[in-house]
Amino acid sequence: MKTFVKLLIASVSALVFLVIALACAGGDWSEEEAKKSLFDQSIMLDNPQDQAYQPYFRMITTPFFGNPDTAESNIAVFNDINVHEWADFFNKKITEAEISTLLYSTDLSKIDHLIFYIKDNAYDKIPRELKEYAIAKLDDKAKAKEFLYYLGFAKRCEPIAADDSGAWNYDTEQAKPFTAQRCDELITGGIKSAANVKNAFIRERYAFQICRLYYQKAKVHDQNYQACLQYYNGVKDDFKENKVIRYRSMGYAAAANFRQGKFAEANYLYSLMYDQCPEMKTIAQYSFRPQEESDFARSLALAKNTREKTVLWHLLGIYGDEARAIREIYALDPKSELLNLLLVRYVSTLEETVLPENYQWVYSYATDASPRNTASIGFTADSIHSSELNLIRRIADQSNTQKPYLWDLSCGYLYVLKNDSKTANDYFKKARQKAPDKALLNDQLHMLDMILKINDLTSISKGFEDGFAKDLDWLLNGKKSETLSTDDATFYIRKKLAEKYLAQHNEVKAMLCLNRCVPDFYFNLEKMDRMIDFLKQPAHSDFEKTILGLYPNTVDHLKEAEAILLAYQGKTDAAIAKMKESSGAEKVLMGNPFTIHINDCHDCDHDAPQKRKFTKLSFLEEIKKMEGIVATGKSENDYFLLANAFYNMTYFGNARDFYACEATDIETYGMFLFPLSEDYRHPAGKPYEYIFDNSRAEKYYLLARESATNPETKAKCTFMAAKCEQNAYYINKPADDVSDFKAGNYFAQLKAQFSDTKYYKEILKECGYFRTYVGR
Amino acid sequence: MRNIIIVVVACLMFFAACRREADIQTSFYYWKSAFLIGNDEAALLDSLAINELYVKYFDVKWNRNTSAAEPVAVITFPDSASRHYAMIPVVYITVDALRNTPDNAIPALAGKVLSLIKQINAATGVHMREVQFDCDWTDQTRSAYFHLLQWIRQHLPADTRLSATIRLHQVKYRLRTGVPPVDRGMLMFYNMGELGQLEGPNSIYNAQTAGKYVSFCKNYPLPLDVALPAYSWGIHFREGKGMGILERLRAEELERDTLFEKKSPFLFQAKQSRLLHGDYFIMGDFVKIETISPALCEEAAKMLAPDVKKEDRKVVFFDLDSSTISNYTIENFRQITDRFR
Repeated sequence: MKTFVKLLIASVSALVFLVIALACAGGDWSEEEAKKSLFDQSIMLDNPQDQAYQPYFRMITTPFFGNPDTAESNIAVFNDINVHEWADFFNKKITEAEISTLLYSTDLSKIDHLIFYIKDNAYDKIPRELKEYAIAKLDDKAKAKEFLYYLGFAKRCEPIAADDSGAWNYDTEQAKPFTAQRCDELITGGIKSAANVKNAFIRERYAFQICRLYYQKAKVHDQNYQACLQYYNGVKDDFKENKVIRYRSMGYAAAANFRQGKFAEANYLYSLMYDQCPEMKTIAQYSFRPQEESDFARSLALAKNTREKTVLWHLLGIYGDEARAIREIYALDPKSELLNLLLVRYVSTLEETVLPENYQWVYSYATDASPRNTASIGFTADSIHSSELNLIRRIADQSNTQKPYLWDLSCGYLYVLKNDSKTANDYFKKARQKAPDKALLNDQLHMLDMILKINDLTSISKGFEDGFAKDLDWLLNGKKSETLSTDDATFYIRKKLAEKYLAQHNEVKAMLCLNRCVPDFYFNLEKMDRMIDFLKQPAHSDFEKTILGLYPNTVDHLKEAEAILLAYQGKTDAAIAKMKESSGAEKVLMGNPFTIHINDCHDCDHDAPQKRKFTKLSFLEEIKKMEGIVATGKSENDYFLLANAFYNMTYFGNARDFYACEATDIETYGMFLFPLSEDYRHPAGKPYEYIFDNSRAEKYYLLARESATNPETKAKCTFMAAKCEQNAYYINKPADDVSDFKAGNYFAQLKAQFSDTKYYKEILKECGYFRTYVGR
Repeated sequence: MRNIIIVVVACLMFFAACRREADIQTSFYYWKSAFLIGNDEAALLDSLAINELYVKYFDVKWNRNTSAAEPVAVITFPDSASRHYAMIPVVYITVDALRNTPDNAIPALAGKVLSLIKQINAATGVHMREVQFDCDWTDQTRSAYFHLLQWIRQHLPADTRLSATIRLHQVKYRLRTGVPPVDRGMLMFYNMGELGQLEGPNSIYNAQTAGKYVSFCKNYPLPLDVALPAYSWGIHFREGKGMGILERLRAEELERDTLFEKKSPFLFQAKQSRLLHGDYFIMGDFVKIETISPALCEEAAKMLAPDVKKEDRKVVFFDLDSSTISNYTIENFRQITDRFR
C-alpha cells in the first residue's frame, strides 16, 4: 500500500489510476463531484469565530481529489501579511503601499542606495525618487538601516525560497536554482546578522529565513533536514514578536520532520499551527498526515494539555474518522468548539450514503427521461446504522456541548434519513427551543419539515395541496438564507410529488412538478391535449400556480409538438391546422427539404442558394399541395419530391430542424438524442423512433419509380429507396454489429436492371458502399 | 458548428494488407515520478531486448488557486539509468485542465507543454522519436484537446511521431468523441469496468466488458499500438462506495496485517477503525484487490489480437515496477506479445 490518490498531489495521472464509474469502458474517474445535501453545514456558523472552520466543510463526495494545493509552494499568499506586519513595525509611519513597493518591487541596488543615503545624507548617487521615500526620511535611522539590511538579505534568499516546482521549468542538476554553497553563504551571513541585530522583530525574521534556507538546501541538495531542525529548535522559543513568522518557521520544522519520517513530531507541529495560526490553518490541515496508529499516539503524547489533544483528534477526525474524534473530544472536553465541525462533517458523510446515487447529477438533468431518473427515491429505516445514530443521540440528549441545538438538529436529520418523522420532529422541536434565533436554522428546519411532510404523504389531496402551497412557494421563490442550498431538497420534493401524482394517474400534475417524468408525454396527442386544457383553465389554485412556475412549456410549445407529431403520422391537414396555432409555424428550415443527393450532406444543403425558404408551415402546406396532385393523378415528379420531403424530415435528412421544438427538446445533430443523453438504441428512445423511420420515404420513392418511364429516373428512385433500406438496417442493427452497411434488395435491383444507365455510373463514382457491393 | 454524420453513404478506403509477419515490439510504461530502474527491472528489459520505454514526464493539471494549467509530478532522474534507454515522453492531461483553459489560450498551453518536454529531453539527452499524450477527452473537451494536439503536431519535426492514448469508449463512440489528430493511437485495453462497484467484476480487465468493445477496434481509423495491463491495485470501499485507489496493492500485503479479515481471495474487510500506512479505514470498509495475473493478461491479448489489424505495432505493458514484474516471468511477457504476431 504505497500511496493513496486523495493525498498525493503528485499522482493525479490517470493512464491507469483513475477509472470512470460510468457505463462506458476505459474512461477516467471524474475529478470531482459536487456535494449532494439536504443539510447545510453552515448551520454551525452562528458566531464569527466559527467561520475559521468553514473551509473544512465536506464539499465533495468523491474524495480522490479536491485537496487544496499546498500554500507552502505559494509564498505569495503571505505578501499581504508581511506588508501589514512591517507597517505596524514602523507604527504606520511608512505607508503599506511604500512597504509593498520596497518588499516586492524594489531591486537590491536601490536598497543599497537607500542604505548609503541613510548612513550619509550627502550620498549623491541615489536616484531622486528614492529620496522621497518615507524610509529615507525616518527619524530612527538605526531602525531603518536594520530593516533595509534585512530586506537586502531577504531578497538574496528569495530565489532559494521560491519553490518553482509548479512552474513550466525543469530543474536539472546543472540548472538547480541555487547551489549548496550559496545556501551556506547565506546561512552563515544570516546567523551573523541575526546575532548583531538589535531589534527582536527583525532578528526573528532572520531566524525564519535561516530555517527556510536550511530546509530548501536539504530538499534540493543534501537531504540534511536534521540541520534545519537543529537550528529551529535552537531559536523556536525566541519567536515572540512575529506570530505568522513563528508558525511559518514551525511549518518548515514540521516538513523537515515529515521528510525524515518523524510523523508524530510533524503532525504535532501541524496541529499547533492549525489551532494557533489562522493564516497557516489550511496548510496545516492539508499537511497533517498521520501514517499509523502508533505515530498518532506519539503525537498525542507530545500534546501538553487537553486543548492540544483535542486539536489532534479534531484533525484525525477530518483526516478519516469523525465519529472516533467526536467520541474522544467529547470525553476530554464536551464544550469544545472543535466538535462542531466534526459533527456537521459526520452528518454530511452519513447523508451521502443515504441520498440516491448520482443525486446531484439527476438534479442537473432533471429533464432527462432515461430510466435512471424515473427510479423511485426515498429513505428507509435501516439507512442509518444504530451505532452512528446512538453516538449523536447520546450527546444531543446530554445537552452539554457548546451548541446543543446543533446536536438536536443533526440527530433529528438522521431520523429524517431513517424515515422516522416522529422522532425527527421531537428533536427539531428541541433544536428550535435551544437555538439562538437564526434565520438559517429556521430555514433549514423549514426545509426538513417539508421533506418530512412529503415522506409522510400517502396520497395527494386537494387539502394537502392547499396546505403545502405556501411551503413550496417559499422553497422555490421565497426569501431564504444565502448559504442555504435548496437545490437538492427542491429536487427531492419535486421528484416525490411527481411520483405520488403518477401513482394517482395524474400525469399532468406529475409533469408540472417534474417535466419529462412521463417519457412519452410529448409523443402522445391525448396527453398533450390534457396539459393544454389544464394550462388554459381560467383559474388555478395557489399550489397549481406554484407548480406551473416550474413547467417550462406553454400552450404554444405544445401545439407545435402536436403539429409535428401529426405530420409524422401522415395527417397533413391536422398538422397544418395545429401548426397555424403555434409560433412554430414561422420557424425557417435551414435547407430545401425537397432536394436530395446521392450523398447526404446537410451542411451543403443548408449552405446552398435557395430561391424559396420554407418555414415549418409552408413546408407542410407544400406537402399538402403535392399530396393533392398525386391523389388526382400519377406524377412521378411529385411522388419523388414528396419522398424527398419525407426523407429529409427524418434524422437522415437535411430538415432535422423540422422536428426540433421546445417541448421535446430533441437535439438535431450528432448521434445522440438529447434530452435522452443516450444513443438512439436506448430503450427510452422508443417514443422518438419516428424520427428514424424512412418507410414513408421508401414507399414514395417506389411510387415515383412505378410512375416513371425513364430508366434514369427509375435508377435514381431505386437508389434513394436503397438509402432508406440502408438507414433501416443501420438503425436496427444490433449494437455489436460494427459493419457500416449491408447491401439489400435495391442494390441488387440496381445492379441487375440499371447498370447501363448514366445514373448507375454516377452512383458507382460517388457511393463507396455501392462500389464495394458491385466489386464483390 | 453542425456535426454532420453521413450515415448512409460513406467513402470507404481499403488498405491492402500485405502478408508478412508483423513486426511486434514489446515495451513498458514507466509511470512513477522518479526514474529509477532496479536490477530486476533492468534484467527483465535486457532479456526482452527492450531499450525503449514510454515514460510519463508529467501531468498537466488545473490549479484552482492560480487558475492556470500547470505541470504536476514532473519526472526526476536521480541516477543515470535514463541514459540506457530510449524514452518516449508521455504527458497526461486532465480533462479539468482542458475544460478550464479558454480556446485562445490552448496554443500557449501547448507551447509550454512542448517546451517542458524539450527541457526534460535536453537534461537527459533524449532524442525524441515519438511523443505521446494521454487524456480521457470527452465530447466537451474534444475541441480543446485536438487543438492542442494539432499545435503540437505543427511544432514537432516531421520525423517525430505524435501518438495519443485511446480508451475503449473512444473507440466505440468515435463518432461522438472524434479521432485525435495524431499519427498513431495507443489502445488502452484496460480500465474497462465500473470501478465503484464492490460486487462488480475486475475493473481492470474482464472478458465480458472487453467483448462489448473489442469488435470496434478493427475499424478504428488510426494505426494502433496496444497497451495491456500487468498491474494490481486495491480499491477502498465504504458503504458500498468507492473511496480511493490503493496503488499497486496486492492481497499478500493485506493478509499480513491484522486490520483486515479476508472475505474472499480478493475482498478484505476492516475489523476495526484505524490508520494503516497513511490511509484511514473505518470498521466495515472493504478493500477489493484487483490483480491482472499473467494468465489474465494473456487472455486479454488473445481476445484483442484478432480484432486489431495485422500491422507492425508495439505491445506495451502497464507498468514497469518491481511489484508488477515479480509476478510475471520473461516467458509470460513473450507469450503475451506473441499473440499479436
